[in-house]
Amino acid sequence: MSFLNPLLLFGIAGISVPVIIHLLNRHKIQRVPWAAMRFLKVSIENNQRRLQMEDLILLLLRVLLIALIALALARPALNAAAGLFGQPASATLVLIDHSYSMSQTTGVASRFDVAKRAANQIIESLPSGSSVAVWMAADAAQPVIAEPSRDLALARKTVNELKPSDRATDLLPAIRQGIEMLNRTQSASRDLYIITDGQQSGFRQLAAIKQLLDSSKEQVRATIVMVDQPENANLAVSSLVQSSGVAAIDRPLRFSAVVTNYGDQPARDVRVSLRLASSDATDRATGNQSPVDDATIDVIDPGQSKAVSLFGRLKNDGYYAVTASITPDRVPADDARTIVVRGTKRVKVLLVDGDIGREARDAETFFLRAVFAASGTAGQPALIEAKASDAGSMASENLDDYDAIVLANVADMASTTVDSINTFVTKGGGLLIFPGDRMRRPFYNEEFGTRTGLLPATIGEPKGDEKAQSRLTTFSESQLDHPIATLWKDPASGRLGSISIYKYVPLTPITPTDKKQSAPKTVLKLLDGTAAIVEKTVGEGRVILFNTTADSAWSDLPAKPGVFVPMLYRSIGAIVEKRDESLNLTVGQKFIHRTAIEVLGKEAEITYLNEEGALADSRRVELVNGIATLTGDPTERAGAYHVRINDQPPLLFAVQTDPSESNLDTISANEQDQLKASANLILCKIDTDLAANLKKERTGTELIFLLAVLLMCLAVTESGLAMWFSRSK
Amino acid sequence: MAEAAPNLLDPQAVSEAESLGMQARSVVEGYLAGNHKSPFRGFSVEFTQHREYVPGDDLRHLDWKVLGKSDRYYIKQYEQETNFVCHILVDGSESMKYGSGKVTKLAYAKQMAAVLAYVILGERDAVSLTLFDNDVKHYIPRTGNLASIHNIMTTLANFQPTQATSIAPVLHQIARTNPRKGIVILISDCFDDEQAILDGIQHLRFGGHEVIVFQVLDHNEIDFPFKGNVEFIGYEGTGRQTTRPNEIRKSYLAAINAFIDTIKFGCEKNKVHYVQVTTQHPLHETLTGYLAFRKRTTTK
Repeated sequence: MSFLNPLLLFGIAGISVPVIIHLLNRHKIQRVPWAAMRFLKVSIENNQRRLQMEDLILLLLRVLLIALIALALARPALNAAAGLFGQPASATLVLIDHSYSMSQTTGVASRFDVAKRAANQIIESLPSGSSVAVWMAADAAQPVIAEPSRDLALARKTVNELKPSDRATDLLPAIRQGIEMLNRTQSASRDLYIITDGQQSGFRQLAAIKQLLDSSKEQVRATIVMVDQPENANLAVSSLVQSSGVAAIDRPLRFSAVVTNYGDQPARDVRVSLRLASSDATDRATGNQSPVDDATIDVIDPGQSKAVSLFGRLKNDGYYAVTASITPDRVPADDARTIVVRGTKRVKVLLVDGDIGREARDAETFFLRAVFAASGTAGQPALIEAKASDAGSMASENLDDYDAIVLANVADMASTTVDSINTFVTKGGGLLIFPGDRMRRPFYNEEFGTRTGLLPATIGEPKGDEKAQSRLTTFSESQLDHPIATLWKDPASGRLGSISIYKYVPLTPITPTDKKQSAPKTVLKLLDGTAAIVEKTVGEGRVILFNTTADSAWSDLPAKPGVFVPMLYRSIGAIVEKRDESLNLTVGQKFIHRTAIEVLGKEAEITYLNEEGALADSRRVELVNGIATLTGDPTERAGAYHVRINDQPPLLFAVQTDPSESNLDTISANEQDQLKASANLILCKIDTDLAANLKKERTGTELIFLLAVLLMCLAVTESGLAMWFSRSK
Repeated sequence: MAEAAPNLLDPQAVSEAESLGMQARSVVEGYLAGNHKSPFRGFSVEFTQHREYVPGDDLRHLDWKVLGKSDRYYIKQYEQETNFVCHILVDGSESMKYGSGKVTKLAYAKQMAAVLAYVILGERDAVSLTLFDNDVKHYIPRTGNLASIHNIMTTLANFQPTQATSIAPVLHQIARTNPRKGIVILISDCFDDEQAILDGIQHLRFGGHEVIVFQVLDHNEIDFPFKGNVEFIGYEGTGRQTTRPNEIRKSYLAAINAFIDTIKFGCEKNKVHYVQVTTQHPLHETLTGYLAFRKRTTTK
């Protein structure tokens, strides 16, 4: 038990008052000479003991009465968080989960509405003199009122104006930052309120959150307010990809949309629509476009995902926002998914041949040219336009005119050329490297590997003898998880094991020491498990390293078009796709666009297309690492964005939600129990009187009523006894 | 204190008492023929009864009328009237000093004694005065001379109490030293051993005295109206007691009423007039009331 006004406990000293009054009254004695003393003595002797007892009882009652009054004024309460000076003013951080699962609505109010109401009630319940900071939390903390402010009206107004984002939840970083912020405050009492829907994804790092809360328990009192909306039915477009490789114009493009049922009831007749919006159609929001294709999924069982293929045709080259959507449900944020693809008339590839040979068919790039030349359909130019060059003349080429460069058995080149290639890749270009007899491996390992970091793997000493033309090894047909290799999971697409490799260079993937660099990924392996094709993302571009030649010198791969052609197409497609990866972000990521140096310093206007006319951001193109770069703020809403930089052609980028957030399952009762050990856990519904609960939490169970009744009884008893005792006996 | 003597005679009390007179309630022996009956039958003024004539009787007392009517010889007998001696006993103990108002019990007793003495002397009866506490302090022997009233009053006025009470020995002493029947008037608060007092009264009654007890009390002693914390300072060395009197009032009243009742019933048992007097009651009313009562009940 503790006291809300403990200083008033000093009032207990008032118990001396009846004693003092008694002592003072002893001096107020009337003295009377008396003759009939004999009878008086008899009376006194008969009554003295009783009188003393009555006096004692009355004194005790009065002392008790005063002690109880002092006790009542001190407002005793069970389980109260009060110190010597009552409830201390608190430095409070209200952390509101604004992930898109919070936008789930019952039709009357969303989880976020309940959360805002809870936040207001928390602010209302704070002891006087408290200060409050308001942060939004999803996968990162977003301070709205960064430091605790005593302006509670401002805090309430701020809370009322908050809107949910389309971010996913991971509460740990925000909680950590929040505790750090609170620990910096000078307040004696610090409170952290986390208002969340208790989604499993938010507590994916439950152990770490628990440990964090436990370790700061002494400094920060944490309360988790779980907004309770039991409805967890949710259908979401969990994935949308363009699965045709290169997004060529005037050709049917396949888009693969995956719809996942996160609810516990089967979903039937799920209609999926595909809409396209070009960057020119900026006057219209993408959602208003007419569907270009749709499909219906018969049934999706609970927890299952089903993919559907939708087709669209890009009319012009340029940016297209492609949106797959389902009928809106109670979580609208994940009912549509938008990607941006760049329509390409043709992909320009520079083939650098390290061994031209005496005849055309002896050239290192002979098979490559043949494959790319065949990429056009009848009556149309080739989709992949290849230009052959050699190492010597490559320096004179303007690399920006190409989408990809293929180095086939190139011995070496000038360092400046390597630098140019590095810049080219970083800006979004693709680089394919084939080894060969002429290749100077130390040069590659040094220049492309150590110095520029372009090489995904170290090129080792060649193995095998090409002259023997005997099969040394072949590609492994297992572990075909890389997007380029998934095709061969289907045996109908050709068998990788049919390829005979006579000679190869062992590739040892390089684990980057710099965390900013991405790790290399193995596309295909040999039978012995060593890497056969390794790729790596560098900047906005991609490098793909092969372990065998592009011609038929070291393997019969070029002679197997069933494998070789799709391998090349998909590699080129991956490069082009990678170039467009920067156009497809997850909510929370910043849009970073490297652009031409001419627009440096120009103003860029970024508009969110899902809300008509909404100006999302206005930025200036700045120089970053020598490249003119447009960097936007972290994105909050999913959908398509339109970017206009000066008088350049507009471009689009799309932001997608994290599908893990679509799963509305909350943490289990067991996990809630674990959290209860570290923080106060409150379930909050739309009609929960949280303010009263929190006040009670803070003040505990006040005993004032009990004391009032006791006081009343005691006062009545005292009065009654005093009257009874003072009667004539 | 001699100059205080005239004050003792309350004019209204005296005049009212004079008109009523101090009638001896029972037969007392006297020296002079007067207002009071004598126990000695004889041939005086007041006819009492007839008795048959026996030879030797004085024929002057033969009732000739009866003889004429009935031819029988009857002798007329008469009650003899005489003067009586009234012994006034005034309690002068320290407890009589108490008085809640202007008048203390002693002052009241003194006034009462003075008035009674004056009235009795005025009727040419004899008066003796005894002032006592635990012993006889002042004694004025029997006198029938009205002029001695001054001496009586001076004695009364000059007396100041100092000692505790002891009534019974005084009563026994009066009984012993006054074998001739008379009237004994005891004016006291009787704050003494009630049984001893009653024994003394019984002794007097045995000697044939008519005894009248005026118990003089203060109304505070009867009502006990005190409130708050009171320290009672006792007379006669009875110490001090501090209490809240309103809380023990009932017990006190029970004790004092029991005491008064004992005295009262003891008096009635001994055929003694008991009169309870409070000092707040005017003296003339007290005496008038009593003397009127006495006149009604006295045969003359």
